[in-house]
Amino acid sequence: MSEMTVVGKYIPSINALSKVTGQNKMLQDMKMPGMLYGKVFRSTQVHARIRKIDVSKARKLPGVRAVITAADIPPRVYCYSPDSVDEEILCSKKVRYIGDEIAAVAADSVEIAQEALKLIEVEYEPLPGTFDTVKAMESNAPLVHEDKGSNIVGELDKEFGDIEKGFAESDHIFEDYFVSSRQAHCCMETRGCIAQYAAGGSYTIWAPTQGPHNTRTQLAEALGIDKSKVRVIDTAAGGAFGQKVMLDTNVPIAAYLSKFTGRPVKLVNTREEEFFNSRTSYEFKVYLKTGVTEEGKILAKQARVILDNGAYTDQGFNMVRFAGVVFSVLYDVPNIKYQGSLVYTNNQPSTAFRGFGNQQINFAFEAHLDQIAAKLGLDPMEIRLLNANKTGYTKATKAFINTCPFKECIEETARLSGWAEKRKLYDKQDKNKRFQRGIGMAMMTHTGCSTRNGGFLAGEAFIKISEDGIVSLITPIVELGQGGTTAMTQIVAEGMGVKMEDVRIINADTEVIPFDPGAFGSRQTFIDGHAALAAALDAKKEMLSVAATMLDCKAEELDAADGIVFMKNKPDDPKVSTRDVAKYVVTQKGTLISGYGLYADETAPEGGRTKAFATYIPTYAYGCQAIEVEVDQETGKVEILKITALTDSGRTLNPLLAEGQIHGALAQGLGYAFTEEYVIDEGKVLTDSFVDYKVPRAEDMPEMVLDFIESNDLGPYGVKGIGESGLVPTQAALANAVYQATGVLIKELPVKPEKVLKGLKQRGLC
Amino acid sequence: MNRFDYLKPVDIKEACTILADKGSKAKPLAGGTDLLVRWRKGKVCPEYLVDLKGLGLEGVSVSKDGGISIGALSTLNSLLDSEYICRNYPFLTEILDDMGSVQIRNRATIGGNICNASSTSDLAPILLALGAKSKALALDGERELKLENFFLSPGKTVLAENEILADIQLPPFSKKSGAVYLKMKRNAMDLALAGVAVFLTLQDEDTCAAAKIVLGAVSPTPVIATQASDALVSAKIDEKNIEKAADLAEKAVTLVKKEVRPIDNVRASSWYRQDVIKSLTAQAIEIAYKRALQSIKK
Repeated sequence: MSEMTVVGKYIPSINALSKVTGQNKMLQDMKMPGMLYGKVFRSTQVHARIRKIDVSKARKLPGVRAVITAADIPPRVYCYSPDSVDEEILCSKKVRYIGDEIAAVAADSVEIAQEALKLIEVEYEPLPGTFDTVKAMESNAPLVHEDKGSNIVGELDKEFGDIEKGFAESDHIFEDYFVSSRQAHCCMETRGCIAQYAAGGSYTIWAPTQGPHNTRTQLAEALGIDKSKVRVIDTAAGGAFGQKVMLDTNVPIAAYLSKFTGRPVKLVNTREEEFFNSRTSYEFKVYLKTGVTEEGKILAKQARVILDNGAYTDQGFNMVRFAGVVFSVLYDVPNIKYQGSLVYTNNQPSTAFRGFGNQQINFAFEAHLDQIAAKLGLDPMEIRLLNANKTGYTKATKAFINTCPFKECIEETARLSGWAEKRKLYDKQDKNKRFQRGIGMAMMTHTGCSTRNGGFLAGEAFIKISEDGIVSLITPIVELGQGGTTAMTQIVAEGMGVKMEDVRIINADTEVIPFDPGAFGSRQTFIDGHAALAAALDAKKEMLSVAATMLDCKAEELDAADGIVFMKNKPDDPKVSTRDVAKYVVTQKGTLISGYGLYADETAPEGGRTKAFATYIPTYAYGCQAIEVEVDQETGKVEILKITALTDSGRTLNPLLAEGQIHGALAQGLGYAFTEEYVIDEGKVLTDSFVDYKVPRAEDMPEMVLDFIESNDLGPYGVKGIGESGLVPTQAALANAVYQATGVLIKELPVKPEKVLKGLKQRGLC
Repeated sequence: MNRFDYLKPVDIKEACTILADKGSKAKPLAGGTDLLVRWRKGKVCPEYLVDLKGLGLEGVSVSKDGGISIGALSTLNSLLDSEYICRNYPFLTEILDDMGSVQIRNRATIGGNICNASSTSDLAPILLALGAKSKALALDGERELKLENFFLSPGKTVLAENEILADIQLPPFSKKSGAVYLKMKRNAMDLALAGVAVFLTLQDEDTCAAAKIVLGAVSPTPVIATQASDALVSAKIDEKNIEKAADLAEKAVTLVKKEVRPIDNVRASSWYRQDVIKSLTAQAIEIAYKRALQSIKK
């Protein structure tokens, strides 16, 4: 194949124009004839039995069309995870966190619905709550779900090699404890949906999701109906970051409100509800024990992690596993032990978040590793290279590393950040000065394409071509702002040899698109990209055979690129346009061109059924970051001077969008590392606005130096997924930089000035 | 939000009449950037909203002595655009530029900021340091107010329900003076975790003739650090005296602490707010001093 025409090029998002001109309608913009507005009556108690619910006054308020409670809907307990069925659509007997759903109203306006909420009376019998995961595991802790008999939702215990032998052989053993706090997703729009019930018992849902099929499956499960009765249509999303993987608890409520009123019902969170009700990432408590040789070779590493599940189970089981896998695979260590516990509390439930638990455990281990390096007198880069992963099977877990640019990532990061000089310079700085500088790094591995969990790792795509040559790809790609639709457009244009502007994307509607779980785990460009490429090649074959008839030659002699068909031996001599081929086939041959593509990972079913561990990731991606800081020792204020981020992209399909992904990830990672403190006091969320919960603004972003390593992996054109990895090493890189500058290591996120100042005072440095 | 009547008086007299008439049921509306947020949260629920825009309370006028009167309804961005302020009170331009976002500054007014009496106001400390005055209008006449007596508690001022804040008056800024407001914040567009305004007038290149240090965000209302200010008067501005004044500023927070609950919340602990006051004060004195020197040398 000749040089690429669109793959690898800086191409703006195909949605850019509609976004900047306001044409891109969000759920909040949508109105339907006869539409009602829903609102949810939520628990004000952290943990209480419901004695009485009185909605009679609310029902009488003019403009109110329906008020529902658990008494009005079929009793049903559901959960995404079959191992921990624990959630009701509306609470019947007990509430388990502030925000738990008790009743819901549909009214002519949002204002009337809100007015009606004030008329609902609930009598509670308060129960003691449990908020700290360690305390919640104690035998006398109040039970969040009495029927479960314990607050421990699930546990995972894995050992590879012989951990005790590994420690026995080690020259030094280091132990430490870290807390990776919760983070809120903070999408531009709050969660919500429009639900429409239709006679015959079917539902249509309009909502921004990370996977309309996932939403369909989970809604059917929640309502106890057949999946075929649910149709989900994705609306434009203002970001998702893992928040929209799982069913929004508003959706089944809106579905019932629509059923009771026969009208479409829109139910959207307020920003406050978004903060205390729409779920956050998991808090991780991480206990680490690591054994090393005098030279710094890691012989044994052990982690015990405890995750705050919150009141109901969401992605916790998967998160315990995934965090364990990335912990076990990063660095080639012969003896590994990993124990994870998922624990109920009366806090808001937790859910998926971009990075899927990796950033939480990475922060702990990568900060721990710098401490080990410091004790052994090693450079942080040195100890990482000494224990680097290599292509092939890892020693302990037998994970297969298909392409491994570990060394390249770290060396490029060092080069671009000026690591060696700066590290030396800052080691020698005058420690009495008020402002101290430091540079820190962190390494990471992440999945380059989702997991084989559940046994499914496949994608399908269809191509249809109109009579004027417009190529439509029917794909499950979800557009969250990450550029999934642009990537598919590029892949089809390149694969088929048509112009990018001739490609259209048809997605978002479960009635139209093939089955696919959605956009998460950095999977869609890899999997659905493969399917799209296969469909494009299939359609191209047919197109070239038609062109061969037109040109009176053999199809094998032809190729197409950028909308032009040419003879392979005379690429500079255009023969016919791809549009003309499409016209010809309709008018002269009386037929049409189409394409079908399937990608299926053959190892997947086996991996899923056996609940494999590290082998359940089809390919691993690497990344490294370095952060340079200046710390004001009088105030503890940390200024970030520069961040260098190296990402193993496999192949960068579109550098403009790839850089956008990393820029966004760094902003989110720095927010988590630095200012996004999610404060829950005895189950009450205190940071429920952007005044208190500080996400970075554009002007907060430091100089960012990015580069990509093209390891040429298994994805279409060699890609690996890069949707998540950009925020994984950020926290530890920052903590390590502050440590070099001040000798203070912050072990509980975020690294806020108060904690730094406290650390400095404890060390007698100010 | 509750149902309400929106009233748009055509002149000050009508506005004062409505406010006198409706009493606590009415709320005056300036930019609305604080009021609407509080309203949505249910912290206020006025039955009448009295829009004060368009009553001629906007704009900056220069008085004979070179001081200025800033109309209370002037938006922050209109003040940011004022060449006179930028030339004669450049530190004020600096503060305005750091307040909120462009969108907020297009709506928010200086009078609204003052009347909202937020403990974290960025404008209050510097206006107090400058010795700003205000005029309040009512049906039965007007009265002059000293801004240092204006704030009672968060959200509460000496203004009566039937009074309208007309302007903020600043004395002329002397050629021998320097001023600055510094604040500690978590990141961009943050409320102050602690703020210090310093206003210095020099006698000569070394000695300070007058000084006022005002602390923000450490207590319910801005704190005039009198002892710290006095420590600089007739003193040489050197490392030793700066340190002394900074220590006294920190002590001023302790003094306040005894009387009222210091701010201690998710944004910052009270110990941290107090701790950084010292560093902020020292830095602010240095900057104000440098500015005053530059001004003299010009």
